[in-house]
Amino acid sequence: MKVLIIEDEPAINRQLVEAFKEANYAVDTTQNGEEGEYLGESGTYDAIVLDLGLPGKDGISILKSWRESGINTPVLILTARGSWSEKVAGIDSGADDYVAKPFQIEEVLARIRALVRRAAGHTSSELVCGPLRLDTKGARVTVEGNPIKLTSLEYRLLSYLLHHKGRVVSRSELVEHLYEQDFDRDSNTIEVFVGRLRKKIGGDLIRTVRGLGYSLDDPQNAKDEPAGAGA
Amino acid sequence: MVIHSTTRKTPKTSQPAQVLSRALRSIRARLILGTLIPATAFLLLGVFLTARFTLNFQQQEFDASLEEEILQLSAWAQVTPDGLFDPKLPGDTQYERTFSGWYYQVFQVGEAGLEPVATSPSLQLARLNVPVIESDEARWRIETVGPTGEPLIGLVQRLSANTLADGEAVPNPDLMFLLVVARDATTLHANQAQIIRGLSLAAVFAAFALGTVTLVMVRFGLLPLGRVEQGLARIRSGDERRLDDDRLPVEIEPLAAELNLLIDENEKVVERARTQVGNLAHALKTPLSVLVNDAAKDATPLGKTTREQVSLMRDQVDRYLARARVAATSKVIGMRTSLAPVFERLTRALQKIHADKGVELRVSVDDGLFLRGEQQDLEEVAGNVLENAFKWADGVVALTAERRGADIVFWVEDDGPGLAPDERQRALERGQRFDETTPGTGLGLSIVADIVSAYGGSVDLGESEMGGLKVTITLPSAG
Repeated sequence: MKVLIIEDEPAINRQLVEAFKEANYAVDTTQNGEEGEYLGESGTYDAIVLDLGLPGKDGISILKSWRESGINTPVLILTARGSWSEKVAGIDSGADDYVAKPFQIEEVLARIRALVRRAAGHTSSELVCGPLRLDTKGARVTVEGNPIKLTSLEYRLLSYLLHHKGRVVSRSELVEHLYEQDFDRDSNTIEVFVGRLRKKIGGDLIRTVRGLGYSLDDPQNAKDEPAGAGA
Repeated sequence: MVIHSTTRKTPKTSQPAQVLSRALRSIRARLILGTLIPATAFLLLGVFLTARFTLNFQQQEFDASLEEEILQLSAWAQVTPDGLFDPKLPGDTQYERTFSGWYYQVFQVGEAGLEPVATSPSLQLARLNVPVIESDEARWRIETVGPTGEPLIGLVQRLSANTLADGEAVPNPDLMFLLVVARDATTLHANQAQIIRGLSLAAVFAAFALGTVTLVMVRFGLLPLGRVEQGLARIRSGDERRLDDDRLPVEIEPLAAELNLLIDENEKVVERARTQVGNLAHALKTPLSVLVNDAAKDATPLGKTTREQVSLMRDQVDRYLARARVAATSKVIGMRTSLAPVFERLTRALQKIHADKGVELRVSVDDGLFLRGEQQDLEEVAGNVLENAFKWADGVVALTAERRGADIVFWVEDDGPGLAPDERQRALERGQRFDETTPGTGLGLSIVADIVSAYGGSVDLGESEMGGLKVTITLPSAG
């Protein structure tokens, strides 16, 4: 999952970025409202953390312009003074949740998790696929109860596929949502990671749909297609 | 035994003096007294002078008639060559009728006193009572009683025999005669009484009319001041934010303009204070937030201490800033906030945030409820209470609001776990947090308690019929 953090206060920005990276998110960040608005318009984020008290272009108007452009990315607003009129104004302008400053980082993480899950249509914090369980809160993955060690990117990939369980996800979509902006993107690398992931989680959970991408689904729904390198 | 003596604030001046000094400060009183007192004085003076003048005039006419008679009789009075008074005095017919009211009598002044030598037929056998006067005056006025008991006013003329002899020699030329003419004064007195009565009546009527006109005029003239009072009452109740100086008396305009300026300034001061408060909040919260989050990663004892202490600091900052914001706003002249739109906005936002929980919201809010206070404060109170309810509810949140006397009362219930009785008191005190697994400041309810107490209202925590917490808020109502 990839998040965008728009926060002008350097220290808070740093804390947020560190925390999200530690939670295995891909993180893009900016301290500038205009740049943030532009980045958000790309629509490739799974969630956006937006500070309302930005200098220059203010958070509410950024939010409104996103929603008007049809960007439905879940947005968590950081309200500067915790006043209810600000919170309500933010929600009315299209935010999905708020956190009042000062906040504890865990709260921001928890709410973003919830927003991402909700956007993908999941209600539980635990994502399940057959014997595979991913606990989003603790960032733990188990297969039939046995914990599995994944790299940050592998976790991200698995998490994304699980969130979009049952749907075919294209390689380019994966590239967009898993890599940070300045990363050297190469869709072939995705293949490699899918392969490594398959080996670790076993089974036929990740299917290759020729020409379209990958899909992760419950075992009973899987068709008889050889899991292997796609075109 | 302790005796509590409350010192009564007895005024130094006496009650009547107090009432008087207060009355003197009243424009109405000054106008009324200032008009009525001189006017009454002048009226009384006028009536008095008129009465005197009229009565004098009447009296003079009366006296003039007497003078005329006495002169006439004096002219006709004769003494015989023997020196005796000629009893035949030609007089008018008024002297002929018995007890006609016109009388004359002539007395001879002797050593034994006065001896009547001539009497008008009207007097019959009576005798006019003439006081003897040692005087050089030849003519003087008397008041006496007539034959039928009527009051008489008369003139006495002293004439010597010599005068009456017309130059003829008489044996006793120095013999004195008193010629008395008297007239019934009953009618005079009656007239005078009537005049006095009439004038008095007129005076009373005039006083009454004057009093009424004065009161009406003063009331009419001061009526615009009543508008000032109404304007101030409307400001106090929050219906208006300014004194409408278009409809005020010209003389009050400067005062009204100043008052409006003051209200504006007050609002600006409050706004400035609030901005400062907000800026302070921003300035303090950010470094504290940074500190607490960095300290969270530090496992050393210092890290732990820092976390705890910074948490405390942050809670204190929140608490006192919330109080300062309310204190700044509750002194502003008359604000009123409609409840329904605020509730609607808050519940809409909260339902969106908790959309995945699918909370059923039951709302029963009466129409026309207004808080006597600021919208921000209502939002803070209702927002925190509703936020709690939504956070902890299993599936249902209920909001009810109604008017009770001079207050508005609203309560929020949820079907969540609720709070045990001993926990409820702690929830209202500072910085208490009950669920460590749900991050977020536990200050919501204590801030609510602060704001509500600043408004002189009350917060009550209880158990809802649905099993969760019931928070009841009482605040002053506006209109």
